[in-house]
Amino acid sequence: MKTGFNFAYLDEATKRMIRRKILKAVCIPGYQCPFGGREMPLAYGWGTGGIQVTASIIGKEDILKVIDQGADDTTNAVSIKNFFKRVCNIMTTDKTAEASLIQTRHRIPETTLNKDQIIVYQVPQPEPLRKLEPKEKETRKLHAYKEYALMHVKLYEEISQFGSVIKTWAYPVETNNRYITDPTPIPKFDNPKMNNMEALQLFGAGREKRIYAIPPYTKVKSLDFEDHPFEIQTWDECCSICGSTKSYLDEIIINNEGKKNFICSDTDFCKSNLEKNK
Amino acid sequence: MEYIGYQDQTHSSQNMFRTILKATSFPGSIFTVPENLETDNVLYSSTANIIFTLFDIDTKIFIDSEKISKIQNFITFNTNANCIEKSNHCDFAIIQNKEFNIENFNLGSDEYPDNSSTIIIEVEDLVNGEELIIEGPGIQKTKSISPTNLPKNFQSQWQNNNFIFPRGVDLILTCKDNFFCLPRTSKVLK
Repeated sequence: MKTGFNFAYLDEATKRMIRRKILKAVCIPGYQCPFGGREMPLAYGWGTGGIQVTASIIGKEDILKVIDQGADDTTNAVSIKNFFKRVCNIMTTDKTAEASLIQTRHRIPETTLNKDQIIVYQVPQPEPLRKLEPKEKETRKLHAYKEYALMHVKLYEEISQFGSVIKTWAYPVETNNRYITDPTPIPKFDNPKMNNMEALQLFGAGREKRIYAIPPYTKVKSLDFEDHPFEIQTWDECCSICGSTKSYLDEIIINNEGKKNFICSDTDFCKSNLEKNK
Repeated sequence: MEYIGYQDQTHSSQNMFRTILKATSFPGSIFTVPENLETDNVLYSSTANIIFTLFDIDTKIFIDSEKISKIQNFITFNTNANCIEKSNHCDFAIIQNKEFNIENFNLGSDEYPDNSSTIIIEVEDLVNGEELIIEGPGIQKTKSISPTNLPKNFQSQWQNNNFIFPRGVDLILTCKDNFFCLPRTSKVLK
């Protein structure tokens, strides 16, 4: 462990401030709590919000898993894991079931999470209404008065123009029948996993300085219309490594002729599925 | 008694925070604090643990108790938090008296409902009082709680607290080494 730092990098006063905000965020599911975001030793957009949330809750006993688009071995995931190893001297793991704390960029693991786990999402833009209304003062009011017609009109316009909602990632959800929430850029394939999840879900946005949360056993509904119900992605192919037909598949081009292969985006799931089928 | 916060501030407060976070995530479930803090009968150990974990110079505290000056000394000495007299401005409140009115606290605004009070209520018993059934986020179906020493009209006060959502207060009920949370989303069915 590197010396000259406080445990988990942040000073105790900052952790207390973030902790108080996390508690309020859990009490008001889906509401974006402003917090005093600190400058972290990596650039905005690489998970500064998620890291601050993780740093405020992590303890000596925690086992941390970090994924980036489902993979444990990509740049962002590896650097964040190394960061926490350096400033906390904690154990890390690739196995979803073993982790007590999971920080994620843009995926929810395929393995079902349990009530002793916490999942921390890295959030680029916490405000689902931002592209429809640029002013923070206005979007605050829209949330305060539950005035979400703008969002429904946007989805309606997509249906009238293209025949269906074309948003396939960061698909807006309604949390606990109240706040419209940005699920972060996870594929809409993962949205149903958020509903009634047993694990606590925390969201940290570093640049925008917002924290929000979805407690366990909370209703999370993807927005839709009666005649155009919400649907997740499906594939005709299966994973070319483990043969799974149930997981989220990444499309990769493997030669100059444009030949395609599909593989599981969740590397831990793919590995354990392969071992199981041996 | 003599404390200046936890001996091992970093890890003890982290451990206690995770317990509070879990209690907030699973309303009505009783949790035991990881460390026993002796306060010469001024406060329960669980309340003292919450104070050491969440209070500091940035928080405003309202106290309603007969032992107000002792509690004030304890809080100021250990955490540097500001004890104030107006309940509607406080971030945290510590209540030892049986009668209180939720409406007198900071309920937050529609735009910023997080600017609201968290009320820590010390009760004589967490399990042998009148039974209330609660439901809401963090509760799989329903949960039964039965704390003692709540105001007679608590149920109607809490219904109103549910009604003004997202505004409202959040409660932490403490007794000796144990506590449970009642966030504003928990609805009392009975």
